[in-house]
Amino acid sequence: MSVFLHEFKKLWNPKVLLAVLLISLFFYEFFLSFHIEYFPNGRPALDMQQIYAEMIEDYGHEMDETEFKDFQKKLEAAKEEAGVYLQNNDTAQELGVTSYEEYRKLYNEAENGIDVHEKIDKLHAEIMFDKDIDVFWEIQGFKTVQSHYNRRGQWNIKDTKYSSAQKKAEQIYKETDLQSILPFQIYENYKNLIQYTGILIVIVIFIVIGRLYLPDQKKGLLQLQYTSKMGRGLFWSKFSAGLMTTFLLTTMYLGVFFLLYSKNDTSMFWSSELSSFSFGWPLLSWYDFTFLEYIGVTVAIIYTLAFCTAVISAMISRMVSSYMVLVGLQIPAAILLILLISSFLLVYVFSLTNALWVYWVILVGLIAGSGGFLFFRSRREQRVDIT
Amino acid sequence: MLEVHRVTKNFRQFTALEGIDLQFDRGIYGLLAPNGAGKTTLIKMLVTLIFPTKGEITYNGENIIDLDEKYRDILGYLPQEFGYYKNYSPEKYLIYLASLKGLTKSEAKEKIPELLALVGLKDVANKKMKKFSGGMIQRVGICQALLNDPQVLILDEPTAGLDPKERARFRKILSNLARERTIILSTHIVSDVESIANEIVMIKNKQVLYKKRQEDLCLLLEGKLFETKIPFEEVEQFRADYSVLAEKQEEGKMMMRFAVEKGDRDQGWTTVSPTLEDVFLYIFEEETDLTGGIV
Amino acid sequence: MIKYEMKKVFQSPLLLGLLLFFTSINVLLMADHIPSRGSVNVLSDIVGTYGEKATEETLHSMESDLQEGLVWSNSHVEGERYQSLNEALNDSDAPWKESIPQKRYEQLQILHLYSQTGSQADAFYRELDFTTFSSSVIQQHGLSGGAADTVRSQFKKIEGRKQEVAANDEHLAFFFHGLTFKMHTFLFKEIGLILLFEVMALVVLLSAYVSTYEFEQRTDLVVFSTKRGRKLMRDKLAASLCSAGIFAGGLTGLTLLVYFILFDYSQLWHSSFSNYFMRETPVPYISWWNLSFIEYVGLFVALVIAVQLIFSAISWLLSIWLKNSYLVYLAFAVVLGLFLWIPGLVPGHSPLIFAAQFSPFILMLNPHAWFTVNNPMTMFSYYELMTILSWGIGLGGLSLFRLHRFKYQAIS
Repeated sequence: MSVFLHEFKKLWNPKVLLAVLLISLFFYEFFLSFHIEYFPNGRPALDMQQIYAEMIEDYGHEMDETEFKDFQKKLEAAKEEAGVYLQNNDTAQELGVTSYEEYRKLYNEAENGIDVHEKIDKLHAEIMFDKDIDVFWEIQGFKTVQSHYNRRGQWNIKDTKYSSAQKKAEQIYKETDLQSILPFQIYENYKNLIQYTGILIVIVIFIVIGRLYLPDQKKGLLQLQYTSKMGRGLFWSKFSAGLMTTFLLTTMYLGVFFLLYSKNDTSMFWSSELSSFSFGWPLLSWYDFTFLEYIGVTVAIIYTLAFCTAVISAMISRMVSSYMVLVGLQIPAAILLILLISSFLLVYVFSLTNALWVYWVILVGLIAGSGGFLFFRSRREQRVDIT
Repeated sequence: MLEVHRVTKNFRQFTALEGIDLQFDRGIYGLLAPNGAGKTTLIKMLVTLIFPTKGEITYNGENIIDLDEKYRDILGYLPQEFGYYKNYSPEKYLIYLASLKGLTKSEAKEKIPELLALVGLKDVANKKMKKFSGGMIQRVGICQALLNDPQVLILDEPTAGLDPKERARFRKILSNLARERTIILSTHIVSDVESIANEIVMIKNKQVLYKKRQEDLCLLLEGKLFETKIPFEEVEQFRADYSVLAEKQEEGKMMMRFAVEKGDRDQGWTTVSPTLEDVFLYIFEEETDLTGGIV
Repeated sequence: MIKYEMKKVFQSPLLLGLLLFFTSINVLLMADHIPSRGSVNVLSDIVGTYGEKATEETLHSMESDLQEGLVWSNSHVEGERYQSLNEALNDSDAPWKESIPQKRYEQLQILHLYSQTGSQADAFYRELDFTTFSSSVIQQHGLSGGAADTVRSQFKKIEGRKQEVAANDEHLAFFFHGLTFKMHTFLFKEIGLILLFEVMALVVLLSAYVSTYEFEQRTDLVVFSTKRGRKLMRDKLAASLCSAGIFAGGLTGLTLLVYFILFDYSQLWHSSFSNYFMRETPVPYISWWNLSFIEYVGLFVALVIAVQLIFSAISWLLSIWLKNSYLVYLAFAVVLGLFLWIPGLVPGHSPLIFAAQFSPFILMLNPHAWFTVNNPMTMFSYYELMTILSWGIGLGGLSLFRLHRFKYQAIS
């Protein structure tokens, strides 16, 4: 145990940790902060967020047809409110616009160049941007939600390449009627955040665990270490110190991440199923997860990735004899892992975008690959000449 | 009892040692050989850093590889060069190694000041090692080898970097320890082992050439070693005719120390009694050019 | 001596392996665009047939060929005929499309595209007024005071340059249709940006390797006490720079070689860079000088190498300080982050906001806008040169200073 502690302490080298901390801050600044500070991003995204939140309050996590009728009533009420506004607006009066429908019709249809067009354009700019009248933005939000709900399940899937996924999508539609209330923007926002968090954690683990074996070897400590009672068992002591460090770092990073993520205030959607009417069909999931379960899955994947990264980085660290080779091998390994993360593992994982086996082959392959790497190196370790 | 049975070590195509047989009992053994003779290879096998290609090494009848940590638990080893953390103090460094050697923290805390006092490093126990001289580092190395009170103590060039006073102190420590332990001392500095080694092992051409007590080794040259003074003009010829072990200028002439296996002896020669150094030089004559020239 | 130091780099299988690894990544990146290769490459035939510029004459002869095409199309239609080729090509459910040779049809489609675009060019440049952009740029970046004045005066210069482009007929040179194929973005932004990061990874690695070699191999005591002594560190700087240049040129060269084999630019080398066809956004690309495409590529490669030399020098400076290549790598990452982060901190009213852009790290992020007027934050005609020169001189001075210090530094 005390050897473990010694090795553990050596990994937490202040210089390296300082560099890692700075790199993490910059990484947050460049890739993550936007999705936290600007969420929801502008209007009507902000209005939709409120509408969805209200829907959860009123209907629970699903909206059935009767509830949808109620929802439409709200839309009508908003339109009436907008009508009142228009009736009190001089420009609208001049144009003879008295209701929201008339206003939209004129705005969409007035031909370019004519006087009416110029006026309605000006009115539109005044309402939406200069005065930022809430109800008009709300109506846009309502209408987007409404059209998503109305068009749910009406996909135009022609590509036969996705036949199994297509069947699954049809099946989900049949079984759930896609009534789940989970806004796409929330799902998307989480994807962006968790993807970069995953990449950051992988990079950090690469850096920290890369120093597991090589420094002692370079300092020439192996002769004393391997002839002590602990001997070649030190390989495993160091390895467990590496895993412990990996676990702690990953947990710390995820902890900070979820703390920051809580600012986005998405908890009311956690119990909603992923079979949402606001998703395109490729984003539906092979498994019937709720959003919270999906978050859990991504967390599990990040831990898996972190441990696989730790194993790969540790084995590289044991096998090379110079820092240049260490970094030179870490770079391609990191690039490959990041490609896997940003194409499969942390972007809509287990969604119908890819066949189900693709996810499992990658996950199992990663675990088996790094496990095999560890197994062979540890066996070799028992009989390798230390010269 | 540490025994080497018919051990061969190959590095790819190259054979470093071939069919070595050796027994080490209690006492101090001096491993003498010129550089590159396979001394370090033998030592690294004795401490399980590398493994024999053929044959086995046993301790009390059991293979040291199978004994695993039971063997390393009674082993102390000081390598020729060893690594340390520049920012550690000797105390911190020894605590780390003690934990690797399976000592508890309290055992280590008790043992470390004792050992540091033994090698005269008590005052710098908490100073960072990056400012230490080579001799101080070497003494820290001796400390770590003794940490676990080893039954088998293997020292590779232990006196490198030590000044004469420290050497003397070191020899005294070893003599005291040797009563109930096996100590193997590898060196090419003859004077290191001369006074304290019970037996000398000489390795030549990948094999053990001699394993004898010092006195027995010296018998090899008994009556064959002479000294004489010759004029400088004859030096060249003299070197060609006899195996010269040492020469020095004296009173305008050259004093030659040389060995004669058989044949006539000149009247002007004085017979001298051989030292271990003479034997070493005589045996490894072809590897060491005694005239000081470059081979 | 420099030769021996460089040998360390070129005899390292790892660095050469990484060079190949990055090349293959870049080739994979190009694979995405291979499906559109056929239609992209048609342009070579067009230029071969009609000439390099969409002058009135050229457009006229294109038009007559298109008329022939209309006749040809109509020959496949029964009953009602198309009045214009436009109508024929845009009729998404025309029954005849399946009965005609696809190749000829596609060629016709593309010829039509270029002819249409070419005929709009003059009018487009006439209407385009850069001075009107300043207010939106000022608003978008939240500028005021001196910074805003700088923007306004720069846009005036750009407007002048635009008029020059139109007068020279630079805008009429044929190039791949930007709105359709986005070849400029693809080559200089997608591939170019990744290439810059790849070379950076290589260059930092090799410079740190050469420069920390003696400290890591513990040969420092021997080497720095030889006759050459501390001057070796100067050789290492030179070797780092040379190797960095060769690796940067090598990876860029390999990547461009594969790219130009896959995509046919053979007829476009001498097309003006500032042409209308290449336009991908409301504003067309305009270079500060009258450059042909090949000249632009040459400048691009030179700048890639120059930027990497700066990175190499920074790595050398970090190496002489940290003496451990792993820490050098980490420190470089921190420096990179720092210099990307700083410009965001400068307040919008200060002209310093532009000064902060003069850094090789910022420069590296926008390779598609190099030498052009198209990045509002860096729209200075000598932005690239100034960045490289100022950093080059600064780093040169710093290096001399460090070398001098190193001469009297304790090595233990």
